[in-house]
Parts: sequence; structure tokens; C-alpha cells
Amino acid sequence: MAASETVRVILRCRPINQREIDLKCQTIVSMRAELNQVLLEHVEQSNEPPKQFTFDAVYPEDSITENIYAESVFPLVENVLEGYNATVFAYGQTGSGKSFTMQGINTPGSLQRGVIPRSFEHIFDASSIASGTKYLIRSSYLEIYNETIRDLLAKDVKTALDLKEHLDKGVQVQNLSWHPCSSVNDCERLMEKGNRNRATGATLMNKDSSRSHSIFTIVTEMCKRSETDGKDHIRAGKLNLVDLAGSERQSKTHAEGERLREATRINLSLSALGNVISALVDGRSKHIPYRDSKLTRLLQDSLGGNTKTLMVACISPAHDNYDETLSTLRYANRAKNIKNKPRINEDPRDAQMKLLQEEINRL
Amino acid sequence: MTLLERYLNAIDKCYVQCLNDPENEPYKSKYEAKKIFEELYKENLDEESDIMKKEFETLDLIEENNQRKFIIIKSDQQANEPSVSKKHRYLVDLLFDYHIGTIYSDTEEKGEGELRLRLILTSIEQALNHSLICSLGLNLFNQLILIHTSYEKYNDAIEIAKHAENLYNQSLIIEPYLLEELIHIDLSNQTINRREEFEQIYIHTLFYLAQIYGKLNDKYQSANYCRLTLERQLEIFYQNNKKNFDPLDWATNCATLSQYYMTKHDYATARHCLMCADKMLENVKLNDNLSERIASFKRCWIKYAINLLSDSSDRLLQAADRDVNPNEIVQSSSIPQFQFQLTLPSPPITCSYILDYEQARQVFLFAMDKINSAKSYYILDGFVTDHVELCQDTSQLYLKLIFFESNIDRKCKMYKRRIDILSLLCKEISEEHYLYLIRQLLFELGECYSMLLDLKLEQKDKLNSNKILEKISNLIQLGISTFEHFILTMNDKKTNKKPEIYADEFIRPVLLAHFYIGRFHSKSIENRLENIEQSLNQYKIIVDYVDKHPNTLEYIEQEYNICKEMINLLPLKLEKLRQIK
Repeated sequence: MAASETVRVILRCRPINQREIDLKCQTIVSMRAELNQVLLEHVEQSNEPPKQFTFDAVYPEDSITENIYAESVFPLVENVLEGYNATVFAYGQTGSGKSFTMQGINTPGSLQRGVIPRSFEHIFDASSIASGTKYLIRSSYLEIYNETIRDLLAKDVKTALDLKEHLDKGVQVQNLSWHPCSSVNDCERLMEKGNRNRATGATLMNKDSSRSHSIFTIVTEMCKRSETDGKDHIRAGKLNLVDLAGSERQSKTHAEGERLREATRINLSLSALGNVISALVDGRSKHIPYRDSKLTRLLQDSLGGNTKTLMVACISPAHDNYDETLSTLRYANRAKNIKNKPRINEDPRDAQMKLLQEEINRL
Repeated sequence: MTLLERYLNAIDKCYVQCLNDPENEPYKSKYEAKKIFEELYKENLDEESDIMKKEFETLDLIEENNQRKFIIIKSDQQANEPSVSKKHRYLVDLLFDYHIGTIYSDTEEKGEGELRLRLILTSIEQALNHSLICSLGLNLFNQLILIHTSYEKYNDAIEIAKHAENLYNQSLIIEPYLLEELIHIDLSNQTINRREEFEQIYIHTLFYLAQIYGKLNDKYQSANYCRLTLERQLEIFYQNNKKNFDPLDWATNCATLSQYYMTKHDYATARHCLMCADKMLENVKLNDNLSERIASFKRCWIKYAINLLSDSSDRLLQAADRDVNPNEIVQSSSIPQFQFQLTLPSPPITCSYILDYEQARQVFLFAMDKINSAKSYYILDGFVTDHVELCQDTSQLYLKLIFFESNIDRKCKMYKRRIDILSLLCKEISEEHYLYLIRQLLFELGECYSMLLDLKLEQKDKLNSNKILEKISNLIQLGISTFEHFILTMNDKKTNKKPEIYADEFIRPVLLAHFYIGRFHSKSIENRLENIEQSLNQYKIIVDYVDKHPNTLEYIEQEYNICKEMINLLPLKLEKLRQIK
């Protein structure tokens, strides 16, 4: 499979919870794991066939995070330890079980310990047993909200940071702080600190924190003295853990009444006029005078180009989450195609074809 | 607190404070506001001011189908309802109804909301053009548009918008009192402020329409309403009230709109939009964003130039093919579809299709000037992607210019320029971090070597010199190594192994790269035998891949067929060459 260029997308459905059982919610999600398919029913429109989505792997309600890590995440982190880059995206609406999958039950040895603590453990286990190789591990944690980048581990969290594309180092966030880590604990503490800053920032700035993306990055520098030439060889691997923003929050206040579906949403604010106009422009040679989304720029060497990329999408099985679940499934479906498609301009070759045909005739 | 103060407090809760509502109680403020509005029905109104009394002279209240309705009468007509306070009371109650209806709609009880709003409409629809009613009417229409859109009843929403449009047009000569002034007219308020508020409401109507047409996939109308939105925003700018106008935003949207018209081959309109965007930037205070935006607009002009040259050469080719005048293919137009009210300098560049080298050169020089200027902002180390795109634009401009140049020597020089730019970039940027850019550059560079080679071969036929033979040999080597490098970028980073299967978007470029390599070998003048063998190998690679993955044939059918023929015929040629040896 020419898979290295694309995003690998896996889907997990969490178990139905007590509140949903009490409310007598129906389960509308089913899976055909062997076909990597998810089926979503619409409870009211029962004569409509269920909507079908296929992913690289699907994990049902009774799945355990240990398996998910072993099958889908382990190869990525191994890659990082060999000096390559990897990115894991986590996506899910509130209540979809995303935190459960990514953080999980944080007891060492627990089958439902989350993807993130497992990655930390994977990295530090490797560094502790590798003889002859020195490991230098550092972490950073940033947030992107409304196209503004903030360092969640900085002294002043409110300062906005710039993106710069360096010739030799690729895309970097200017003045992002990096913190040395020598244990799983160090990483977890940094993450907790960043999470607190994320929440405080949200209240201070009157924003919805579920609308921001966050990226926790671990860089592992491995220094080994080569036996052949006696020199130190350094490899650096980078693991990006991206927590993607959900779409605008849906709320369930009254049972009756339609909820705004994504397709019908109208932007009330004129600040969105630019987006409406941009949507009209299609064609190869054009320039839209807004910067590319910061998230895309920051991760552009992940989106195609030999970096292994994984998206973990999380959904709920309950029927009263139908809209959110459908929206997540569609989002994850689109993610399968995210990559930097090179614009290989081709010049018209009719003339060339003619020349070639002439050559053949002469043979 | 007076009635007006309580009203304004409720408004603030409903639209401002609600933004801070917690996630688990997102409608807290709106519900509180609704409570306040409901209480206000019972509060007494102050005696109407003289000016309010005067306004009510032309507004009457009748009863029709068991519902009270407002109608417009002449000031000297006998009123059905003589009591000003009764009319005032009813109007103010309708105002509260409006807010409550809107809150129902905003808090996911659209059915209830729509019901109430429609009732209000019935009460005021015969008096929409009255000073005391027009603002309420326009706001009401906007709400109904939003409700219908949420049900995907786009055509119904458009119908309502038509009513809004009529209301707006007919209200241009009356005094559009603000909603809060229905309670008490503020004498210190100037007409200009009321007009601007009213304009803002209508601008939203246009903005919603632009989105609705977008959802209906009617890009033409969507663009039209975007343009109308921008036009009305410009009006506000001229009224000298800059409170609601952001020149940087306006200019950026105008420049973006130009790109739409440009991709629709409407260069006159695209040019007008870009000139307006540039002009509006003069009103922007110096800030961080300004220099970036100025550089960004230059890139819009660059695309304009490239597209104009591209369409012009296509037009000439089609005309030549069909043996007709280019005007029969498509006419040039210098009249934009609309004009924003801005004083513009004379156009810096043509919007008509290019016919000859001299005209093309003008466009080329204009665009190169923009590129050089933009590059001083988008420096390579700092803005790699942007800088590379500017260089690619340069390469494209040369390519378009070459079409109009008939002299081979000069064509060669232009290819040389392209090669210099592209090969320098390839050396400067990191393959590790900018792999997709490197691939684009290598492929384009390889194509340049190929085209330059063809020109040199043509020259060689005319003047046989060692220098040319050397150049040809060189070009062949460079062409081969460039495409080989391109193919190598596809290898697995860890194992350096060639992939078994290529992703869809790489199939054609990779196989074409092999095709080019084969062709380069076949053009070789020395070591004919070895080179033709190499050629044959390349063609075999292509045929093997497609035969192994038959679904990829569609990407490369023409070349595949040629390769198959080559595979049949070349062995014979090789045999002959071996015999000569």
C-alpha cells in the first residue's frame, strides 16, 4: 500500500454510559470489524439504509486501548525512536470518549491506559534499555485558537507566537519553549500544566476551549558513537500529539426542535465574508490573500512526505448523539484524503506526442 | 430603571453576555433576557414625545381577521384608532414579541419562534415603509431568512429576501428609527446614525443571500451578493462613520473576489477589484498586517498576469486550429460587470487578450515587477513556501512569454532562466522538510531540460557545431539526473526501497518521469547502442507497471501505447546497431 503518504484513520466507539441507559437511549452504531466498516442508523428514518463508512481500522465498544496502541500507534512511535517523525491526531466531539482513548485510566498496567501515557512509556522504556545511545528528550505544548498560536508552557501564556519557515529546519514556532524530560512523569506533569493553562486561558479570553487545537510535541535526540568511524551520529525523531478542535458545540436543552446541522449553518458574522468569497474561487492558478491555516502550515511535513500520520476519531453509540457522530464520521472520512498534493504542472505535450509518433514511424 | 433601560439591559444579555455562558448552560443569558422582555409587557410607557406623536399621525391601527394591524395613512386622514398611546403600546408589544420570537428561534425552538415572528409580520406588513416600522420589518425578514435556511428551504428564504430588498429600497427616503427608539425617540440621534444601523441590517440580508446561493451552488449569484455586500459596506465608509468599517478587511475581501472573476476569465472585473483593493489599502493605518497584505495582493496580480497570458495563448491556438479570427473564440472586454465607487488611477495593465510578443512582454514585465517586490517581503529563509511559489510563478511567466517569442535563440535564453531559478532552489531548500516542493521543482526543471533540448536539436540541424553538441550532451545528462532524482524522492525514507505501488496523484508524474528519461536516452548522439537499451528499459518499466496495475492505465494511456510500440520496434533497431558494431 502506498500508505506512507496518506493519513491512516482509525475509529473507536465508546461504550454506552449509565446516563444513556437510564434515558433508554438506543444504540445506533454498529461495526463490521473485519471489513473495517462502521454503520450509522437514523432512529427516526428507519426505512433509510444505514450510512456506511470505511476506515483503516474500527474499534467497537468493547475494545481495549492496549490493543489499539499495539496495532495502530506502536509502529509510529517506533518510527520516532528510529529518528523519523510521526503525528497522531485525536478527534471527537464532547462526550465521544476522546479523552478516554487519549488519556484513559492512568494506572500503569491498566488495559485502558490511554494512547498518550503509553507513548510516553514506550519512549522512556526504549531510552532506558538502549546501551551506548544517549537520549535527550524534550517537550513543548502549544495551542492554536483563532489562528493565534500560544505556548501553553510559557511564563506568559497570552503572548502570540509566529510561525517561520526555515530553509534548513522546516516550519518552526518562534520562541516556543522546550522542556527537558527524563521520565514519563515529567511529560505527564508538563501536559497537566499545559492543560490547566489552556482552561484558564479560555475563561480569561472568553473563548470556547473546545474550539482550539493543541499540539504536544516530543523530540527524541539519539546520540550514538559509531564503531566504524568513531564519530557521534545524531538522529532526532519527533512525535506530534494533536488534539483537534471539535466543531461548534451542539447542546441539548429542549428535546424538541431542530438542531442546526452543519450544512445549513449560516454565518451570522460579517467576519466570515472572506470565507464565503474564498469558497467561490476554484482553479489552479490563484492566490487567496489569507495565510494558510496555521495548523496546516505547522504540520505540513506530516501531511505527505514520509511522515507516518494517524488520526484517531472517537464517537458515541447513543442515538441522541446522531448529529455529532455523523459529523465526526464525515470529518474522519475527509481526513483520509489529507495530504499535500504536489502541483505538478504539466506543459501541453501534443507537440511532443506528434514528434514521438514520427519517430516511431521512422523506426 | 426606566423601561428603556430595562429593555437595553435585556438586549445586552441576549446578544453580548450570552457569549460568556458556560458550556453546560449555553442559553442562560438568553432565557434571562426572555424573562425580562416578558415582564416589560406590563410596564407602563411614558407619555409620547411630540415627535413620536407626529410620527403616529401617519400610522393607524385597524382590525382585520381578528388581528390588529398597522396601516399607513395620510396625516390629514381620519384615523381608525385616534389614541396615540394605544398605538404606541401595541407597537412596543410587537417589539417585545420580536425579541422573544428571536430568542425561541436561537434556543432551538424554531417552530415556536417562527410562529410568533409570522404573527408580527401580519401585523406590520401593510406599513413596512413607515419610519417606526421599517427597522422592525427588516430585522424580522432577516430572522425569517435564517429560520428557513436552517430548514434548508433556500428558495423560501430567497423569496423573503426579495421582500427585504423592496423594503430597503423603499425606505431610502424615510427616517429609519432604531428598534430601541420605538420605546422612546432619542432626539440627539442623528439621521446618519439611524441610516447606518439600517444599512448594517440590510448588509446582513445581502450577506445571508450570498451564503444561501453558495449552498445552492449558484456561484454567479453568490459572487454577486458578495459584491453587493462589499458595495453597501463601502457606502458606510463614505458616510464617514468608520465605526463599522475595516478597510483592511474590505480590501482583502475585494482582492479575493477578484480571484473569482479571474478564474471565470473576466479580466476586466478582476482588474477592477484588484485596483479597488490596492486603493483601499491607502486607508489602512500602518500595522503588522499591512505589509503582509500589500505583498499578498501583489500575488493576486501575478496570478492575474499568468492567467491572462495563458488564456491568450489558448485563444490564439484555438483560432489557428479552427482557422478563424481570435474574436470568434472569445471577445476581449474592458468593461467590468460592476464598479465600486472609488477613485482609481489609470489601469496598470491591460485586461484584453494578448495578441503578440510586445503586448505579452508588457504583461510579463508588470508581473515580474510584482514578483520582485513581493519577494522582498516573502524572503526565502522565513517564508519558504511563499518564496518558492513566487519563483514558480516566475518560471510560468517565462513559459507563457516563450509562446509569443518566435526567435529560437531568445526562447533558449528564457528556458535557461527558468532552469537557473529552479535548479538554484532545489539546492537551497531542505528535501527533508519540503519534500512536496522539491518534487514540484524537480519535475518542472526536468521538463525545462527536455524542451530546451528539443530547441537545441532544432538549432543543431541548422548549424552543426561542437558547442551545440556539447550543450546537447549536457542537457541530456542533466535531464536524466533530474528525473531520476524525482523518482528517488518516492522511495521509502527508511529502507530506500522503491514503492510497489504509487499513490494516485503520483502515478502519472512518476511514469512520465520514466518516459522522459527514456526519451532523453533516445536523443543521445554518442553511445547509441547503450542509450537505446536504456531507453527500452524505461519504456519497459512503464508498460510493466501499467500491466501489473491495469486500473492505472487511464492516467497514462497515450504514453503507454507509445511505449508498447517502442518495445516492439526498438529491439529491431538495437539488433541493427549491434550488427554495425
